[in-house]
Amino acid sequence: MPNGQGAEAELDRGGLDNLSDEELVDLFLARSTSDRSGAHLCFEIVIARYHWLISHVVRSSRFKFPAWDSADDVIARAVFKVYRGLVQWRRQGKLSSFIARIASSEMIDTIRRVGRDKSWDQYAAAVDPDSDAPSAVDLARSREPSPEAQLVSNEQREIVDRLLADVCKDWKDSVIVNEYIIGNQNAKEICAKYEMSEDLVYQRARRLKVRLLKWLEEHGITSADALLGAGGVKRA
Amino acid sequence: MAKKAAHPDRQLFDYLSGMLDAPAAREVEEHLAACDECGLAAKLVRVLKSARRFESSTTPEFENEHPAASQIAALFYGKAARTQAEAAAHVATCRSCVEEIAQYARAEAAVSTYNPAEHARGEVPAAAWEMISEWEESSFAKPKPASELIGQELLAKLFNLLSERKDWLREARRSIADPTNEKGVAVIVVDRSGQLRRVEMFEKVADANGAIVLRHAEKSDRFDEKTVHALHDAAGRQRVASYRVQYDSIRFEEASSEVTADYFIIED
Repeated sequence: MPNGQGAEAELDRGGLDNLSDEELVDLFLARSTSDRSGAHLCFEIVIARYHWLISHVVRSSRFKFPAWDSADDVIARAVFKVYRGLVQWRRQGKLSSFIARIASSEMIDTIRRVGRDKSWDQYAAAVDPDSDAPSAVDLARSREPSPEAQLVSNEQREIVDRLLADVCKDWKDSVIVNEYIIGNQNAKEICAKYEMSEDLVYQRARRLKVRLLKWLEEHGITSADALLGAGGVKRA
Repeated sequence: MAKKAAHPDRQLFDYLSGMLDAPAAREVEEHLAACDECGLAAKLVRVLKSARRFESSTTPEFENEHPAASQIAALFYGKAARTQAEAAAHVATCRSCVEEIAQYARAEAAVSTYNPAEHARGEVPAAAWEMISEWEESSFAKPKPASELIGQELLAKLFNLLSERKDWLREARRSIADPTNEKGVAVIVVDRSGQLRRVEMFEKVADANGAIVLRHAEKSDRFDEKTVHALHDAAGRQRVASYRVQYDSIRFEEASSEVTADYFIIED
């Protein structure tokens, strides 16, 4: 702890250890405006309880960290965000869940940020600033389809997004559509990856099929060709 | 058309994923030839397969096509909220974002069995203390001036206002909000004595970095530098968080980016 030991005389570490998470966070919040070292001591106890969990969330990811942003860096940022975010903890959920969520979000932000940086590095390495020759980026095949194809595909995409927005009721539906119905994963793999039962995968997939067909019917689509044609979709 | 009970749903999905052996695949093909419903479902699944997004959320040119990380979190932790339907549709076809859902699922699985007493006690990393220290020295953590503070008395008035004028507020929100716009968030304007003045409309949008912000629907700067108070009333516990309006937008701390509170601006 960077601050002095004064507050420890007032707040007893052993006593704090015996507090519930709710009591500890309440005390942390109460102290953070008037007694910073007291607040820091409370926070130390929170992290003593949940450091393992933060570390587990960060280190159990299959993400390969670059040399300039290690798992320890992510853990430190997550701990900092827990400090800043404790005031936002809604008590109907467990503190462990709140902390794991912050650690996961930090992990995802890191993966996105590192990925973008890597992409920029790749491009930068290919460019010779003194050369008049077209760069690798100029010569690269466009990732975009032709404007005509794009128009059709954007229209289809919009219909598909509307269909899925109406049909997917929660993240589990989204996962089952993505991984099982269209992604060629088997139910066992999905169960292991998302902590759900095999029966749930099959049940949800069956219900999704029913909802997908109902949506088509309600929107006047009687064939897949009509869906691909897109233009004639009715608003239900 | 075949009887409903005869639809081989499980085999159909396995067939479309190429996971059936030849005899089983032939059985499904025979069913598809005779059953219009399953035939349509099979074609639809093929359309959905062709709509799968392979662009990673980590690729700069595609980053704006993905929901913000906070929206992915809201989808995972939320309960079928209509505002999350867009994110749900995206995740259903995006290889990159579904992996982020897996990250939250792994974390929740760890939480479900976690008992702090069974694990070694950890310490706040030195680097985290440095960040905390810097943050506490910055203006963000400094006590607000008295004019921006929301006292217990005013807070009680605001919660009373919410419960007493529930119908009026609902009507006022409806009258200014476009019912088709699910991104609209009503912000209530009161004077310092807690008297209701009017309702302003803000919209939930993602900024250039993908973070969720509330932007004034009329894009007016008249609330710039004013403080917006977010009132949460969860399970009988009332609390308030305050934010500054800057460039017609309210930017949240990361952990509070779900827009679930009642919002007030106090005008002098």
